[in-house]
Amino acid sequence: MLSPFHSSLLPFPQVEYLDFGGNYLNGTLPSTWSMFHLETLSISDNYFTGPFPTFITSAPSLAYVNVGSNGFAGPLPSYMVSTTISSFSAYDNFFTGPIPDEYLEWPVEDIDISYNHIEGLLNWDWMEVDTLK
Amino acid sequence: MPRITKPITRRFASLIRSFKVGNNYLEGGIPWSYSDGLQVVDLSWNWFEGPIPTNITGRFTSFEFENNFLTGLVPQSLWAQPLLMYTNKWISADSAACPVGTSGDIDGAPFPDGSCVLCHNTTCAPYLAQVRRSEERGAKRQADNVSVGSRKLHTLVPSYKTRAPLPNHSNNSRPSF
Repeated sequence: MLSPFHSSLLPFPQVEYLDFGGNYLNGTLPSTWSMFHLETLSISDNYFTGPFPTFITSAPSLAYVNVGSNGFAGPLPSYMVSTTISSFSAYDNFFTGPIPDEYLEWPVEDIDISYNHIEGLLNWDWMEVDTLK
Repeated sequence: MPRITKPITRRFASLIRSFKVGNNYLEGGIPWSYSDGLQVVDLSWNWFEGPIPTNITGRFTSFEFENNFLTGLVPQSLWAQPLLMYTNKWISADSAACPVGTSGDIDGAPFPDGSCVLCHNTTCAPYLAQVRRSEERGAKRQADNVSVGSRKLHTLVPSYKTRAPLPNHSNNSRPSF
């Protein structure tokens, strides 16, 4: 039986809103999904594993992303194609490493990366942006 | 204050309203100056150390830095944050300890009224600070598998794994939460 997340079953090029949250979905997510119009994505509270899904980082229109409470691991994404990302939630996973400096480049309003294994110094530039103008 | 060692494009960072990095392993000092738009800051349950800056400014409605390794007093300026007071939101800073040479309760934190008193060498802040660094960090790591409240603390098993077991595919009933 094919996983419901087999790439051939979910091309969804026209979808703007996608919410799979609060289920028992598992496995890794395909990197080949092309979601040119996706603006809102929630896959929180599932059993997904693997690295941060690359189809999310490559979706050009994303504004809201929630991958919280899954089993994702590895580094946090440092790059998002979307220039309209305003909310990024990746709490309660197994992400490691530092907070990428590149987040400063995101037009994000809300970041929640709590409950992970993130380490290192907090980038002061995050906080001091106004005082350094 | 750390030096800025490389240029960073700041096109968007001032847009941020909420920054939550609680329950990680971040370390070093906590920032003292915050973007004007920042309203919610969660630095709790990390390894931040040093004093709480006395000149914190911002427009916070929530500021959490409990359970770190911060020392010293909670600056009066923090309590004077107009939005924090006006909106009846809260500051959580129960990890703030007394200054060196003084102590409040048994954990080195100020007494409930915020005061600290001079104390004996083995019971006051330097000693307690050393204990906190050498032992409590280990304790924090050990606490990684301890749940407090409704959320996990650095747990090695994500909270989703503590939910109801996977449904038995032999029947169609949904699990109850």
